[in-house]
Amino acid sequence: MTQGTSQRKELSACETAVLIDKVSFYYGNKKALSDICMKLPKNKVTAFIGPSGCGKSTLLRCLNRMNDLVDNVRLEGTISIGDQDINEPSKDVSDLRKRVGMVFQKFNPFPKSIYENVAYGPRIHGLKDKRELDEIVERSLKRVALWEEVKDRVHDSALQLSGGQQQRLCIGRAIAVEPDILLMDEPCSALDPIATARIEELIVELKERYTIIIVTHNMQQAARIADFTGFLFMGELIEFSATELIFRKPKEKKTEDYITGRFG
Amino acid sequence: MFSFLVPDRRCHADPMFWITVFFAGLVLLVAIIFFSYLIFESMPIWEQGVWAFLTSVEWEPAEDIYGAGAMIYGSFIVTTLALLFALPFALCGAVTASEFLSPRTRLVFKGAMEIMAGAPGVVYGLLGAALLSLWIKDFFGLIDGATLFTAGILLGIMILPTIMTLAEDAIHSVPGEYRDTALSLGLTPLQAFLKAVAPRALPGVIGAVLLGLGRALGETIAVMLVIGGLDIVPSGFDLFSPGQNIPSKLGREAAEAIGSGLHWNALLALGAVLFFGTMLLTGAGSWLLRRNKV
Ligand SMILES: Nc1ncnc2c1ncn2[C@@H]1O[C@H](COP(=O)(O)OP(=O)(O)OP(=O)(O)O)[C@@H](O)[C@H]1O
Ligand SMILES: [Mg+2]
Repeated sequence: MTQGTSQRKELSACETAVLIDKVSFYYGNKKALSDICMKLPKNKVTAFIGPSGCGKSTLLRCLNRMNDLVDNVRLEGTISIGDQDINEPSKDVSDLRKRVGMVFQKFNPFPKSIYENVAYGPRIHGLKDKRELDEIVERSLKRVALWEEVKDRVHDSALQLSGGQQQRLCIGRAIAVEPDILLMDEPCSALDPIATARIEELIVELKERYTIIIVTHNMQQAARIADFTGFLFMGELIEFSATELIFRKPKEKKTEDYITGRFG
Repeated sequence: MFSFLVPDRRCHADPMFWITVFFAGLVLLVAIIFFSYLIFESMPIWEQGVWAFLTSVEWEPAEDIYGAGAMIYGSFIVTTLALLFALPFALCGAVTASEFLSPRTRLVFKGAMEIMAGAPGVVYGLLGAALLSLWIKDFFGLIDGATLFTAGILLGIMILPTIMTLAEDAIHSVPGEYRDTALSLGLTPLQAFLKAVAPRALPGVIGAVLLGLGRALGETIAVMLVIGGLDIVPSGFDLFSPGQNIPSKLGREAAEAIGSGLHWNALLALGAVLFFGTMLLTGAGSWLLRRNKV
């Protein structure tokens, strides 16, 4: 299932979607990220791997400023999306979050109908036209390969869907607001292997339209779906390169130890 | 959320289902027995005319004339006042505590609320009689501070911590992902609270309000100490006049009437009215909840 192994993959050859420049992040006095520099390539799947507590989620949540809400946090360095510093005071957070969608570990459809879940974001952003909403719902559900399964019952409660379907719905809900970038924090860790395989397939399909950044604990998963992989350890980015390189011949001893299961 | 109301073949095999049914049935049975007892024991009053009893404001045990109008009016006014007074503070406090306080401060705040929620009614009553009724008397230039208004405000203060802490629990227990998801779709924190968190918390908040209302409706001693104890519907519906509500009437007269006679029947009829009112409120509450469910 390793996608495009034949195709040459080099970071420098890719267009950059997100530029992370010397980013450090603090929860109070605790340093959770130190001096991270990376260029996340456009229309690729980038995975963050590393042992628990190494800062993967923190880094991911910096990209759509979800950490803003935590008390007493501080960010140093800059994160830019398309030449714009996302942390600039003038920048509208809710605008940023429209462009950078997020899918969470625990799939959490709102206790509403399937339709309402997908229409939620666009509606909030002021879209009222029923025809347009219908189109968005259909298109989004098609993109997450859910349309065929639910088209006869889009007005039924989303909570009746299976776990995998619910997670696909959550991805559909995220892409309904037309983001450029999709952040996923362990999107499969609550799913069974079959549902996981479907989501993985979907992620690979979605990268055609979106830049995808995924946090995963599952190294096989990173190996299967990610074009590029970054290994984080205790808040530092140890190594970041094409996935094959990370898994076949890592440059750093720590990466190798982690990949071969010697810790973490 | 209300899936237990929806008949589902599968649960019938589950022993938990039948245990639940058993206890629910038991509770229902006890409630029915209570209510039937009240109705049965107060039959002599109802036979004289239900409407007459509910609307007449004359209550003269010496002449065996009993009308509940003043007490029903008093209960209604006092409870409404209490709710109007408590709700804004309780809800603002609950939202603030849940959404904006640091975890430490929140716990201190909750602890204080819970202690106040647990304080006995008589303590509130004494403070109400000693302080609140004097303040109200001076502030509004009244002859006497024992009024319907005083009772309403005192009850409002009493139920405030209960509603606040339970509503806070309901808001706080909405999983963080709902908030995060709404935010990640581009909502502002306020929108996220209103659109994603508040609807999820609503059933719990309504429950909290009903519990507070129940306490306000049933509270006896605190009200007795500040309401004035006059069986009247004040002329011009003056809130600053003494009045009477059902519990304070029962508290005042039960001991002297206990056992038999039309007086006793009349007091039990009052009890039945109160019980019925509470059931009506609870029923209205669950109807509201069901209407708001998805
Ligand atoms: N809200 C917070 N307040 C304080 N410290 C936090 C907070 N969130 C995370 N941390 C700390 O920051 C560090 C990085 O956490 P993070 O959640 O980013 O790790 P992670 O790599 O995603 O771990 P996991 O694989 O377990 O999800 C951890 O030491 C964690 O304890
Ligand atoms: Mg994490």
